[in-house]
Amino acid sequence: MNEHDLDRLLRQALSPAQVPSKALNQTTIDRIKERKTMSTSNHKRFLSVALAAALILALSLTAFASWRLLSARDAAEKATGNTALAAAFESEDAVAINKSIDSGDYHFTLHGIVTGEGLSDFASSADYLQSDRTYAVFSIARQDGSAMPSSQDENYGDPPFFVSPLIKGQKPWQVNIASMNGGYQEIVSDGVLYRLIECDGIEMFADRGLYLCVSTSSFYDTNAFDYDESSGEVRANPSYNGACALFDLPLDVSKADPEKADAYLDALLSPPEEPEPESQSDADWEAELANGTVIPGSEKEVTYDELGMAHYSFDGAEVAIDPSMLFAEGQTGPSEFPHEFENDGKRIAVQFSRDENGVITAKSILLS
Amino acid sequence: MNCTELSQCIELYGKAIYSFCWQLTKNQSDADDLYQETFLKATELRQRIDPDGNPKGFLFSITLRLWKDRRRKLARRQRIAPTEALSEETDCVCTDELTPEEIVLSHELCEWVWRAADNLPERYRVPLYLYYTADLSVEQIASALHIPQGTVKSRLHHARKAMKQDLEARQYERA
Repeated sequence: MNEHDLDRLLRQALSPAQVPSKALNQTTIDRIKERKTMSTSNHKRFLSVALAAALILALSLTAFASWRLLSARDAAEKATGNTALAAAFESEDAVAINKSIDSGDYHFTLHGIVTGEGLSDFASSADYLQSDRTYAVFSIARQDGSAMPSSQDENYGDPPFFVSPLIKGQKPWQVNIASMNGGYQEIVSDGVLYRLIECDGIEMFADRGLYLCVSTSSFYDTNAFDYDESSGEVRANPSYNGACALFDLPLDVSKADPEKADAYLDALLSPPEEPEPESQSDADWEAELANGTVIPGSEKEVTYDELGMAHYSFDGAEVAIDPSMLFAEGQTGPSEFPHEFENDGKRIAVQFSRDENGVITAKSILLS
Repeated sequence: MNCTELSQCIELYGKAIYSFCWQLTKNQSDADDLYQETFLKATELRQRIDPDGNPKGFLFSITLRLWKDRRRKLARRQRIAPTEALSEETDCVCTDELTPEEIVLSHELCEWVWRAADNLPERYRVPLYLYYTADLSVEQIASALHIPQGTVKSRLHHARKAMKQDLEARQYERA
């Protein structure tokens, strides 16, 4: 078999025989536009943000024309088409809140919240932890009265909004909607964006104090909120270069379940389970790394560009990569995927590591 | 990159990405999931995708990352049903204008190729799929895997060499 025959055979045998169905493509497009599951990346972000002159953030209860807004029930039904879930917002267990805060260009309203079982079939994670789920209806309108972009608009999703419950006493970059198996669906009706968020049930934390935060960011942004480790309180940052607001969630304290809450947090915050045995090739690769020699002076902290890409360079080896491509949610320690280089016949692997503070370092390892 | 451009990426690169998902997962359900997750993850990262850069390579790097995250679960399923990839559902496309005997041979050859590819270490297997299945250039593979082009060429060379040895051994055994 010559090289030409081999190339032809490989091209024929490995060429695509499967194509995505039209339904799959349409579903994917719909989900891109209508429903975005929350990222599993809830780590503290270390973007190098060039802060412009601080804007004064006006946080105030407002007299926005609330008649413009849909009720929690109507918004939930429009967003999901799920009448059972929508009706739950008018049940005895629901908490009607209907409070608004203005920040930046936006008028944020928390309509209501309800916790229940079997109200929707959504779960964003295979490691779905519990049966009861908390749902909240939240709306975002522009203060100048102009319409929020709908999913058909070019600028839909710009800026992004991060809406999440937070628990007093828990680091908000660790415990938020992303880590609590959350997700959302949203619609724009009469120029107002309505978002139905859901996550694992939070009533068990009712005695600790709960918040609902919103910020103009894709993920939890440590610049938008200040967390006081001693008191466990969270506050919106008035100097945030964007819009942000924090609502209190007045849940029924009698529904708190400290034991269940502790168990939940233990599971959420505990290190990931021991991995299953690696395949032979992975084991080989790990052995190569273990037997390699760290090049002296090569270990250093990565730098970030304006897009948040992590950069590392040493002796001709250069890597620029999105940190979320290196580390899974909450992952610390070495990255699973070292980057391999060949230079003058030498094989060098660049190994990234992240510590518990979110600081990412990289080192070059000379492979034998 | 905005959502509209991302949707256009589905039209432009969807087939290649789906085929790659198929090669990695070996079953339709997981391939569908991986394919959809790729674009949803890309939606989250869309501000970082340069439409004039190499969005195709970026999308494949997302697919790879997601697949590696799920690899252990998928590997378990493959151990349970290791021959699914060889079922009629996965018929290869190299059967045009062949006699029945040649079709049998062709299927057999395709199976050999699949098995030989699956036996390759991941560092050789993935570039092979990206090159032959996803039809990425060496430059695009280098971008997706974050490795130099020379390393891609080296790995493709090793992969082809190993495939050739494996296939020739099988032909010898068959003869």
